[in-house]
Amino acid sequence: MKANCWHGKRDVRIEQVPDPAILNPGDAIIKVSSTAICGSDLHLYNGVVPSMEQGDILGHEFMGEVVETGSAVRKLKVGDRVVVPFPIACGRCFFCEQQLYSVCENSNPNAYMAEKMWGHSGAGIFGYSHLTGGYAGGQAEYVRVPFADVGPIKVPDELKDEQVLFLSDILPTGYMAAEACAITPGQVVAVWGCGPVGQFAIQSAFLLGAERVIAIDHYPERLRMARELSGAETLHFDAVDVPDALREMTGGRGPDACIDAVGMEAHGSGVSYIYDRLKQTMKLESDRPTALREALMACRNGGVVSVPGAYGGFSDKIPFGSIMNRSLTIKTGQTHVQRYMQPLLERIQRGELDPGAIISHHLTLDEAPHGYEIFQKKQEQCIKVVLHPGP
Amino acid sequence: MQNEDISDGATARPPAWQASMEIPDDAGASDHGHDAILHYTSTRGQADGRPQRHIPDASAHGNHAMIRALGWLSIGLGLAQLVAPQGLARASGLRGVSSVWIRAIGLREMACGVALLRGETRPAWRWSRIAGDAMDLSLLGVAMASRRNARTRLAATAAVVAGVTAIDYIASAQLAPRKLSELPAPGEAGLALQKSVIVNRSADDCYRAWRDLENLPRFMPGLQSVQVIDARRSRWNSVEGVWIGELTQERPGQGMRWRAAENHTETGALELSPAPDGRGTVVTMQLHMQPPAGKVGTAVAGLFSQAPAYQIETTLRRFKQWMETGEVSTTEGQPSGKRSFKTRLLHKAGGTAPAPRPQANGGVS
Ligand SMILES: [Zn+2]
Ligand SMILES: [Zn+2]
Repeated sequence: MKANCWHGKRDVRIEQVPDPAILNPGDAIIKVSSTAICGSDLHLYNGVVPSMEQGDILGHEFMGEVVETGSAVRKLKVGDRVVVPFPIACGRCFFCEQQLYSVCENSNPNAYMAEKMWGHSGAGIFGYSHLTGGYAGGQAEYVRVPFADVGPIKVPDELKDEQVLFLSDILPTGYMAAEACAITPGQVVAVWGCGPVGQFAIQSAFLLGAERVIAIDHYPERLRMARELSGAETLHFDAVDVPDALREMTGGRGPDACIDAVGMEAHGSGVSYIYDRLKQTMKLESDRPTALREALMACRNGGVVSVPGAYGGFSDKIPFGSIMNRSLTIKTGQTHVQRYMQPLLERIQRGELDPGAIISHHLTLDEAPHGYEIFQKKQEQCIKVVLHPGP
Repeated sequence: MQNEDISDGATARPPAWQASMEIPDDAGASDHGHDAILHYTSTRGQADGRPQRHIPDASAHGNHAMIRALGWLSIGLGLAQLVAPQGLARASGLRGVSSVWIRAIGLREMACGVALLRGETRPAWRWSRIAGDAMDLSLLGVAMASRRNARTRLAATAAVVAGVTAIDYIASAQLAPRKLSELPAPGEAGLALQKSVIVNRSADDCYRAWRDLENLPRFMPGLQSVQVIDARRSRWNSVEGVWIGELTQERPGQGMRWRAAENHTETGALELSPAPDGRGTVVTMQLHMQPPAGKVGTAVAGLFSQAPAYQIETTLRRFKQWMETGEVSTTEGQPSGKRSFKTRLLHKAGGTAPAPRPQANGGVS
């Protein structure tokens, strides 16, 4: 089959690789119909995520048709059309029982590596480095899905791929980020980053009762989408001083909740941004937390800072004094996608959400390297790329 | 077994988890009541005074003289650098180095000396000392490159500093905190390892699955098969060879002990105890090996001599996966693009034994 493989910094290639096989009784093989490039794939593409190996198959947002099942699979059968959540969860461990699927104890065969880096391991993730299991990803014609009875959700035929594909990651991720803010009616939420997760976080914040959402970015097309599609007020961070603007817009108090939908490769300006850039280049710091710092400082006293943005290792100069002295709450985590798929599917069916609206590019799987390049460089007004392996 | 506390009280340490290793010779029957198989006590040293590599208080105590000497040496050297920087510079063959620099180095040296004498064992202090030595060495290296300095004297000075660095390093390593999971029982030499995992199943389920020894290859890396010979003995075929194992204790629902049938120097134990709030079972596995490392240790958890801690962890992790989900998580055998030479090499060397091939969770339900 064909698959999109990682070969180093800014080097992905479509290669012929063997077809995946059933390796465990709970596995299923999915023929991929649609798969997306995620913002966190760009961290892999830029070579800032540790433990990637040449030849790794990328992709953790995908859906398709079940073509084979292992002997222990009960709920899925050949022919089912499914969306697959990006964290791999066993459904039986202590954490899965509490619906904390992205910290499943049983799905990461490289847990010993993750423990060195993070103290304890989280769940395995498709196509996302060997720290999270080294599982082959879904930017391919076929993919092996472990614990197939736990993760994948069947989708009704009347919904198109592009309406449900993002249930695999970015829609639940944006939603969980907004849910973590514990929004009460009338509140103001600020969102750093208007990429796909940021857009869904904005929409979810409104759904959950926010009165105003202030969106921060520096790409005009993303800011326009935040305004026109999601109904946010926008701030262009090259043009205005963001902390100052947020103060002014909230009567000096600051937003009730702040969402960092940017992660470890923030763009920015000023001294702290240059500091991070230098340290990250010299491998003295693994993450570049410019947006996180700003969100922590801007949030109102007693507010919530929610972090759906991807971070890999260590971040410097986190203003912990501000967090402690001002009673901030930090909520974060890889998304417990399995928990949100059914309720969000129902919202899509009721027309409350239209996830497909954020797609800017439909490409074939063969065009994946081009897709990564334009998404990385934000060329051709690229916001979200969906790849179609089929004919 | 004596559990007398001989610590001098200089450094408070967490209680060492130590297991008493009494194994009755007629073991095998479960007629020893219901006392737990592993006994955890909070003794800190050992009474008979035999040298113990793995007991922290004993080793720190044994090196006290060396550490004191090192401390006073540092203070003396630092004082000399502080009081007569240029005299010292001439003596060590260094010319044209600013007195401010030498005084700064002297201050650092004295601070380290005081810390050593006060018994500072925090890693930051230990490593700052070695970093300081490295700084001195590199400064000497720079000085060596300059023709104005007396190179023979400099070389001699460098040799002395390098020697001190080596001693510092040894002292640091010996003062380093010990891993709780690698402390041997009092009176025991050799390597002891202990790890625990919480399994979301009852103790009886865990016991039954483990006691059916033919299940072990499903989750013990490197173990190919186990054949039961009789009630107590079994033949273990691992990548490192064949050996006969002997069960010495069985406590249904609580644990078991085993050892090598031919030499009794290596033992293993499994203990099962309820996790807090009824949330499953704490499964603790312990291995104890007497040097020279014999077969039980190596065979019990595969390529044991390589990385015992990794192997014992892997066994427990896979046992948990198999008990909870009926399978062992793996990516062995999945497709990938062209691997680089380095990656292929890494997979061969570091990959240890592949996870077991697919098999349904037969015996356990
Ligand atoms: Zn993603
Ligand atoms: Zn789980």
